[in-house]
Amino acid sequence: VLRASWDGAAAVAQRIAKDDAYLDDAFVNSRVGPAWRLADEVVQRLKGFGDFYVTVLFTGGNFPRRPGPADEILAMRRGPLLAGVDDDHLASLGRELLRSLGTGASEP
Amino acid sequence: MTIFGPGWADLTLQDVQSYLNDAEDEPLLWEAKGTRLDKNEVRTQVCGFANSHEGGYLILGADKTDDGWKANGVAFDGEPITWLSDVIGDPERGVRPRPDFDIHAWPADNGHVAVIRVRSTSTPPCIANGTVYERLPGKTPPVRDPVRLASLFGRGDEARKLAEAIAYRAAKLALDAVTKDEDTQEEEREEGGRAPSGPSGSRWAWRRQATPPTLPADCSKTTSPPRTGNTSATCQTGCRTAGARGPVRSSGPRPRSYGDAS
Repeated sequence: VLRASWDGAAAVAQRIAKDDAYLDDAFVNSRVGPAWRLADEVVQRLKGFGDFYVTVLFTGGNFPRRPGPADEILAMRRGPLLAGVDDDHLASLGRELLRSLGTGASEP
Repeated sequence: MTIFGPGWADLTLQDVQSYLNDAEDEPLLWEAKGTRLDKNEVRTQVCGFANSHEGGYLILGADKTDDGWKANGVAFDGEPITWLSDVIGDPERGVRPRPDFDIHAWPADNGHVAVIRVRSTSTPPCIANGTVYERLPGKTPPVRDPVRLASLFGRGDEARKLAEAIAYRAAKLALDAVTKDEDTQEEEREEGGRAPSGPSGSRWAWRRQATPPTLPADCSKTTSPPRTGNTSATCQTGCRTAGARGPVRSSGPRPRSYGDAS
């Protein structure tokens, strides 16, 4: 789903089958990165300007190391940022996601 | 539209000169510098416009003579647009946070005439040369009043909160959309008599077990989403406002944030 609104926000959401979701270092590069790039492109095409703020929400899945309510939403935020997708921030999101699910992720 | 008449993309040197022919002293929205280029002066002016509510235009290569304003140009140390971008975006002494700006430059008698369009920053204050500047009619002085400085910070904080709230809301709506879309497809499959299979099937099996039959009919609206699929939403906002609207209050509980933001 791609959603854009008058207030300058663009959001991309996708549902991934459990069997296809391998939560490893490559997850954000293969899933979150393309979504971020698409949202960024839409914002820029709509002439969004100023600082950029990114929010990544993640829900669903079974994670034995971090049991929680079924409707729990992981929220990861970044900003203010410049336009475009920053690989360092993307990698940082990946580490944050892994840690939030109980998997260690060392700093580069 | 610009203060010069035509739109920014169509602006020409003739438009600038035509505007200057009728102009008097520099008001709030523009400033002209003519005979000498000073990096700190450029940063100061850009910083002042960025901290204002409406932004403004810095004209380089225009000077006031006895016959009025003349856009005769000034010698740049290199290609004007590149030079100006480097001066404003200098990582150490440039204007930070970098405001949204654009530059036009045209050849003129004494070098080039350049116009920098600076938009009001959404997250003030901007700082340049270690100082916060503000635009007043005809001048760009440092901000010396603590109350004025606090106001700038307040406007920036408010804009950041607003942008974060907008980003979260947009991501949540997109997340809800993929969830509902999947639910609708599942309902249609079940109504069609086909047996669900795979992860989706187990999700519905889980949901049926989890929903007591005595609950009201509309209870399904509050049923928790499945745990057998992974859903992610990414949102990016271009913060378009300068805090013109009031603070946004979240309608629900603030989501927990996990892990350290490394």
